[in-house]
Amino acid sequence: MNVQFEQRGTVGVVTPQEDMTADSVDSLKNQFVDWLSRAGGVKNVVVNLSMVEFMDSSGLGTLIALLKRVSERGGDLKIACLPKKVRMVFEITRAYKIFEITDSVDEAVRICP
Amino acid sequence: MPVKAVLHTGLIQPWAATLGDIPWPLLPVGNRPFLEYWFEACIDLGIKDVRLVLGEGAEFVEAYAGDGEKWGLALTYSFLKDGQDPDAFLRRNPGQWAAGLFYLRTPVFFHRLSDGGPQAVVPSGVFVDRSLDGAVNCLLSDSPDFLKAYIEDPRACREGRPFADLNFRPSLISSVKEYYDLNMSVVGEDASRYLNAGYSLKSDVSIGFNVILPPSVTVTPPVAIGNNCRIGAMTSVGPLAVVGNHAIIDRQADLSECVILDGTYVGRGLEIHGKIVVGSRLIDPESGLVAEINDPLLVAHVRPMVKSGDAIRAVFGWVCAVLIVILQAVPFAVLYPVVKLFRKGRFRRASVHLTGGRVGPLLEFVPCSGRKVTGLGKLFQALNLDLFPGLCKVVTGHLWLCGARPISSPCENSFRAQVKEYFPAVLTYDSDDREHVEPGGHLANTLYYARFRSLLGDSRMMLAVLLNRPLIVLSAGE
Repeated sequence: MNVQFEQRGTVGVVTPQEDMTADSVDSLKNQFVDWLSRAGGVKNVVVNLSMVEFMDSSGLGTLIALLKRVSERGGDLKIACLPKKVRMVFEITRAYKIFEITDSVDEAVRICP
Repeated sequence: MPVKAVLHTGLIQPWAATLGDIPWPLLPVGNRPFLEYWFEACIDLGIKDVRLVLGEGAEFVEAYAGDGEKWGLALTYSFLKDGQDPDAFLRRNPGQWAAGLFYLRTPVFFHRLSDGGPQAVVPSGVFVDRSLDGAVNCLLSDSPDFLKAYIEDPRACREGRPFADLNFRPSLISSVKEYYDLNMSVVGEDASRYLNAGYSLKSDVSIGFNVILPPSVTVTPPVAIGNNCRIGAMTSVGPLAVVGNHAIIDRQADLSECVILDGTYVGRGLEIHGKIVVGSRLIDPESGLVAEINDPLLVAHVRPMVKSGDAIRAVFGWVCAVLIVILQAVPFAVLYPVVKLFRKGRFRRASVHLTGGRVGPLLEFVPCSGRKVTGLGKLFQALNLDLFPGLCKVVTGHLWLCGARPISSPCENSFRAQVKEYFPAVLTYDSDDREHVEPGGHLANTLYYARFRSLLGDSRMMLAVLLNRPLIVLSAGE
């Protein structure tokens, strides 16, 4: 999976470029762990889902795994730019209760502690 | 002569296509199919003689409605050809409607404005309901002049009284949102008027038969659950939940203000609120957004039970196909190069709908350009060697041995959309005389096979085609 990583101060912005399904999430997870270990000073993470058209339960599970990893470092993980169809998956799985969701990456970066 | 009802179930409704494969007359409204409310309207109006005009999903509608005895109606059937104007049916024999006609042309739901029993006699007068564009949705008339005028020119006919005078409010269902709102209304404020009682002591809760409902399930009225459902432990159902037949709701799910259509699985712990779920499809009726969730852990189709008869037919067909392929392999390998060399015929690649929803190539034997199949080509066909590529497809599981003619893709996709149970095959009712099938005959043959398929029927078809076809091929053009 092609993933873009960007650092804005203490906030890392992660942008997956493809659908998050069982076939692709292992790659996302490995790249994220690798990047997080190399990036200095990243405390909070924003996952920009604007390029993701579909996400299944594996994708959600991966987001929760990323949240856990960031939380262990004392940070928080926020979701930005949720497409409508992915938002429906968040609604039925109640994932909206776990993640803070914003309409834009800038807004998510701004509210990061 | 009694007043007759003509109920059109055959017109394709684009909104219903979003809701999966169930024909729209059989979509659940509350805990019953939409069609049943039409029957009730006939009963309320004192009409017993009902003609159902079929089209899309004909075999399912007919299988459900039967002869109408269940409702005390006398049902008869006609068939609407693809693209045919529904009013054309009335024009076929206008004299039939002389005594009066109750005509439901589009999916209109008859809301009862108050509780009341059936009418002793059919109401007299002219009652018409039109949509905003002026098209007639439904009418009831005992006036021969009005009916004559309507049949001649449906748009020019005069106005009638509103159905409200008969204690009805017809509402046209033309979108997924209207279908969703209708369900919420029928289960909600109108539950006492429309819902069948079902198996529940709670008021405004209707539960069908053979529903597994553990004690830990919280049911909050109003709720309608169909037949043969399994609700997981610690699930919360309602308020305003409609669950169709054969649905599985996994544990700890939460359903409210939603419609779960037949044969749907809802995964563990999911929260379905304000949505329609049909198989793996999630629909937001407000926005019209449709999301295909390709994840069986979330929402999915309950795997259809393979009919044992189909499994036996599949094995029988496969074994027969293997035997025929073995017998034909050498003659085919010898004769086809000769046929091709002398330009007596050739195989043409066609794209068709195969089994399992796949589209793929199928080789069809056709004459070489500008020629007829003669001599060697006829012999090739008489030995059924032109069926060899198709038989190989049966061996690989892409076709059935006996069934319906494979439907071309994409030019016959609308035809495919009308056929719910599809058995593309090498040997078909028209495979011995494919050129002389009447218009609409392919559809009729396809639906007939789907309705009456059996192992005995397949055996007869195989023998008839393999034995008769050589005679027909050799005698053709003599």
